[in-house]
Amino acid sequence: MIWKLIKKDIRRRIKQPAGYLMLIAMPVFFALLMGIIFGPKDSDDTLILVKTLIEDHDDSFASHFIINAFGSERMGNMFEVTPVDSGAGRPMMEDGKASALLIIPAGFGDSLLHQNPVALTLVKNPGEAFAPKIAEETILVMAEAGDRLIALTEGPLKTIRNRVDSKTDLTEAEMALMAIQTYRLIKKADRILFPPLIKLASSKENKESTSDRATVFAYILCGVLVMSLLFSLEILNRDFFFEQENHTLTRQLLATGIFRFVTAKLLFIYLSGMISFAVVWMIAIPLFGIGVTPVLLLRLAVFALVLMAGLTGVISLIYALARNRNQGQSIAPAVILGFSMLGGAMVPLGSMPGFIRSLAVISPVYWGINAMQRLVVEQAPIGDILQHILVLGLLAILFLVPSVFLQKRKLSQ
Amino acid sequence: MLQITDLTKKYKDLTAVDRISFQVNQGEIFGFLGPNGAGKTTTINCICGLLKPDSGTITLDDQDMIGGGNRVRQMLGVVPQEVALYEEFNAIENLQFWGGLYGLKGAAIKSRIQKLLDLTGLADRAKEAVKNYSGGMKRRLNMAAGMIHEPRLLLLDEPTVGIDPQARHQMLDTIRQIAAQGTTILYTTHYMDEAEQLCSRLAIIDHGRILALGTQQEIQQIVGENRLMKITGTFDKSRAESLPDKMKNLVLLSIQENEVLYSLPMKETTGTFLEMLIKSGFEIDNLSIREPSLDSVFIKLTGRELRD
Ligand SMILES: Nc1ncnc2c1ncn2[C@@H]1O[C@H](COP(=O)(O)OP(=O)(O)OP(=O)(O)O)[C@@H](O)[C@H]1O
Ligand SMILES: [Mg+2]
Repeated sequence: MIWKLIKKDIRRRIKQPAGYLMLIAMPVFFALLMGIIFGPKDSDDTLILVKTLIEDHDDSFASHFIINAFGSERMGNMFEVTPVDSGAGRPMMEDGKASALLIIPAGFGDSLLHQNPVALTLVKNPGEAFAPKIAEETILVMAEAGDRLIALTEGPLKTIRNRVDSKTDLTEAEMALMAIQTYRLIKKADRILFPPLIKLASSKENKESTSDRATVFAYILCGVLVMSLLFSLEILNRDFFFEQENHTLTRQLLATGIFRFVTAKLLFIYLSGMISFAVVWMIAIPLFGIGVTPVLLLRLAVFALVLMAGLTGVISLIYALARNRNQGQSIAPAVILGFSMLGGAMVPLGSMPGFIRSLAVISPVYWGINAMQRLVVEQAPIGDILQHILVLGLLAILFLVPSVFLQKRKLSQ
Repeated sequence: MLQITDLTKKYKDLTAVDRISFQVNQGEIFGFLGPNGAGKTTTINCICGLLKPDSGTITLDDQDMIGGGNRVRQMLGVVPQEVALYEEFNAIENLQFWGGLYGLKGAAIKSRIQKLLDLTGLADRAKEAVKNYSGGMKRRLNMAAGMIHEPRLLLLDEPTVGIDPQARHQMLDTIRQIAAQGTTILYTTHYMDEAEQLCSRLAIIDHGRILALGTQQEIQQIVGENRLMKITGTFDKSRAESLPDKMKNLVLLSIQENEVLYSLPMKETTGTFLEMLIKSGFEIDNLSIREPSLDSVFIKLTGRELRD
């Protein structure tokens, strides 16, 4: 009986897969973009070393992020970044000690968070022709990528999130809009994929570095993946409200009773989470050239069982507590973003202030990301992540059991 | 077959169903007639176990329905007031799912689905997604879904709301066929003409109470061979109240600022009545005369129209 209920939910998704598939593809997209920007470059040979000074007036997560990016493996070979005190940059430039000076204004991070327009200042050394141009080009590319990432989360993701569980199909106009947004994204990514100047600097291919690059992709993917999984679980949980609004809830309760209904729904959500997890890795492994062994796949599968149970527990409890759809749909994403930020899904924990780093352990996202990174990047055995499994397993039990009873109580009214 | 005794259901302060008792006999279409908010859906939800009554008993073939569990549920089919289907599925997929929940499978479910599609006239559109269906088609499929497991008692909650007259006519035909095949039906509606056409026995319910119960003829007796005369306009209240003294058999039913309701035996002529009104200084804006019907029963019992 429970299986019949689950099968129905799966078939419903199969009938309208567009939104759901896009959602699954999202983490791969993110990882691809971020990996290309911040990943290692293909060669150690550098034609030019661009000496860049950075004046950080902001000292926020965002400015640290930029500084880290310049120092990353890929760009570190091309840029020599020296942080300087406020006001010290310009005199040094005049002395000809650097090719470019990047000034990050105070309030930069805040403005980003509030999505206000914000300007970085780049001072180029007029005496040099080429090096400052590289600095400028790179920052432009970064800015565009950042912009695109924001647009990406706001554009298609929003359309999808709103539409995925509503009764109507995506209209053709919405499909077209999404296609355009995605196309524009790819066009922009084009510049990142083949930035003219950076390509010049790394024209000599070095095959050995591909696994390095895969590592960075995998590393980033682990982060975004947990966050996107939470978002897909959130959308799946809306089914509880959908069945109510669609009046199909009562009919199912009549035929099967409430306990079976709730159990089946949660199992379906869990199962779909597992499928998303598997699909993402199935796309990512060949796409990024991540080296996998059967043992690693097995470890990932075992971990996924626990991870998805824990994450399902978190989101389902929020939905079981939410009195109506609006409550669920506004609280859950806020919680997801909070946990993701804290757990290092958006900004690597290394670039965050110390006190946040010490708080990361309260975020289930942290446990998920950290364990996966160990499995995939460090090739660690399951024994190394027992603590993670324990934490996530405990979360699953502590959250799923009350979810069932709260949902039961709520739906029986 | 179905026996309801002193059923009461409260939502906080509001008593939605107030000590109602009635009985539905094997093989009949029993009408449950009442305006919006009368307590019809609440009663149905109590019968099928979605709501727990505050007091009273419900038995189906002498088995207790309250907390009756699966076996009793199998005997019962419910067609909810709202369409409860998956729009992305077609008719067959919907029926397969709902039938599966009642344990139907294999050839049995196939032939049952075919029968229901024929009955509801959906056979040629059966493979099309429900979202493309018209309102009437959705309602018919909704009904089929409620009776997929061949229940002995079918609870229909306003199955014709929101569909055009032709589709409604078709729907009533289908319901008659279902009854003819031996299914007992509890038919909820706020259309008195549907109750008149379909139901052998019926209950009139308002504000959670049963106002009248019995066969159509028995209920008709409440108004007897009387017409209802409703006058709106300007008139002197005390003169309006004294009219029955002047005319034998004229009965004042209700009176308000600009509206007064009388009942007048069929044998009396309306002409005399009208003359008298004008003599008494009535300035008539509107006069409606209603022949004896369930509608007039309702008006007589409540002073209101059924469709308020
Ligand atoms: N869940 C509820 N909580 C509080 N009051 C309710 C609830 N459901 C119904 N009521 C109230 O109980 C009364 C009876 O409602 P019910 O739905 O049974 O009427 P109905 O006869 O089915 O009307 P309709 O023709 O509109 O379907 C109404 O006054 C309604 O407002
Ligand atoms: Mg109702």
